[in-house]
Amino acid sequence: MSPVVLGGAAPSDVTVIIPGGPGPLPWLAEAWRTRRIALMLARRSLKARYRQTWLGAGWAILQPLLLMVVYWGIFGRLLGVPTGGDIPYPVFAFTGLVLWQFFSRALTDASASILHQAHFVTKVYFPRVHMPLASLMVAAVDAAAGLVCLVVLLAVFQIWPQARWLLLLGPLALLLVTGAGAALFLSALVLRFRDVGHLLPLTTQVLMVAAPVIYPARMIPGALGTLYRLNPMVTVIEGARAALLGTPAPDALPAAVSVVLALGLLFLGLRLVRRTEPAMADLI
Amino acid sequence: MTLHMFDRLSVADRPVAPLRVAASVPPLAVEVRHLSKRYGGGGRGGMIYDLLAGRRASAPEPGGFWALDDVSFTVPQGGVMGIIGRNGSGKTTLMRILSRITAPTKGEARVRGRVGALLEIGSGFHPELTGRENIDFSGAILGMTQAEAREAVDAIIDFAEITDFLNTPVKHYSIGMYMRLAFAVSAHIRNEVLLLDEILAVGDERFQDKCRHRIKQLCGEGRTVLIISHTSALLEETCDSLLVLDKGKVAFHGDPYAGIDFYHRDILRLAPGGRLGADGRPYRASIKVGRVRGWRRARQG
Repeated sequence: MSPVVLGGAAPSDVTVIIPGGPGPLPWLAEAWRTRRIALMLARRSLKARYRQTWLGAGWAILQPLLLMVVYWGIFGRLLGVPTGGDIPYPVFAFTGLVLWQFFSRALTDASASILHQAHFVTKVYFPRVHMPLASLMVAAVDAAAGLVCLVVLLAVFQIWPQARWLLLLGPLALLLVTGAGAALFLSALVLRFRDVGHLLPLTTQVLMVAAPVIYPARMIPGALGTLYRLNPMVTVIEGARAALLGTPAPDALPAAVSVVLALGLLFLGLRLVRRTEPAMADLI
Repeated sequence: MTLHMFDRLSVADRPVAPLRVAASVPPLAVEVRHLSKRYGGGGRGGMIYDLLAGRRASAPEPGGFWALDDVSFTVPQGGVMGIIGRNGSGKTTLMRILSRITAPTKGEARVRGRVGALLEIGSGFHPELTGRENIDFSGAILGMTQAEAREAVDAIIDFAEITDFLNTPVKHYSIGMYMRLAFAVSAHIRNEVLLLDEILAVGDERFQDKCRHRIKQLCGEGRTVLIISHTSALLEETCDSLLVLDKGKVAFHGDPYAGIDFYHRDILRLAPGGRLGADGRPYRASIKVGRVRGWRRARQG
């Protein structure tokens, strides 16, 4: 394997420094060439995050588990939200929560990743896109731990692995695209408009209600329901439940549109990061 | 027709710097043309509009000032160019543009090869990580390949003199230890083009000497080096050309000895011997306060 060159060009390459920064293709090529930086940033924050905590990485699993218990008490027992069929509410809600937690981390942590690492932006150059991507990787590690935990929980409720579970890869890929799109777009936007940072906690809460995290999508019928199903996170969560729990799969057409929307968001996110990159050090 | 000719002359074909006439002219490592950088400005308040209209993020805003104003020069491969100038003359801005931390407002720069920037201490350090982990991480951020980092790690540890504290989080380091480690990491980058700031030579006198010695070594290894320094001796010893910046403009570009003389005499307005006048002010005041100058001379005489 040839060594991965970090932080810039190959020895004989000429770097052209112009006001607008590099064009889309060279920009992407450089980000790819320096991808190890994203991995190292992610590893660094994973290492640093649980130092001086007693529970360590257990927090990654404990948070969605505790939330699940709370929602089970309120929505499962007290309000009796139907899950569809004979699916126990805990696995129903935990599936939604693990996936949602990844997206919510993309909205809050990853979107602040560039702003909160101003010491990098103003002191040293590397493709800035690695900062939100590294945040996403950390969130993905937590989500993976959550998914393992989910498998255990499913076993507790006598639901065993089967071939259908492979279909989970589809919703997971869509989750990555949606999360990356949101993280990239917001991480660049927040540099220009700090307002975004203040709006995000509230927005995340509202968006969680607007996705079938703790209730099934079936509860939203009619025209509103069709609009609702264009949300990529609806496709992600309902798709994951269909794969794991055997609930009805999401409708094909709104699901397809939601995939296109997620890809559009990713495109816009990449574009905004690239366009903002030359001015980032001045904006922070 | 004529207009067109002038256009071409004024933009593309304007000579930038005197070319060295040699048997074989080495290819240029750094080529800077009409580089300008504008900072500040109150903004127009039309940020949403700008964003929707797709306005480039680096387009100039009204107000503000030119931190760098139409700077042009070239450095051949293997050349060592010193940069000198007063505070706020644009030295750091120039380095920040060349290391791509920030983009220019106008103009263009071409750099051949990987750029290593030693401009700030501890750029890639994380307080919670140990010395060894930070070497690995900041080395990568500063542009080392995996193989280079593995090779350099012993030299870095040795140079920084922190062998006993390698597995201690750097937040428990003394400031001196932290700075030593940071300089050591930066000083072992093997990139083709190095941007140095002598401000990095830190610590007690012995370590400062060690840093300066290392800087001289880096300059002598056939790499292309751009170095900011206020130490005339260091510049005269290491550089083969000197760029004097004043208020964002190139005031002088050429022989280092002549450049330092020029800088002392015409920019700093120091008395011969490089010292300030008896009252702690420059010996020769600027032309604007000519009468004061006359008064001071009278008093001194």
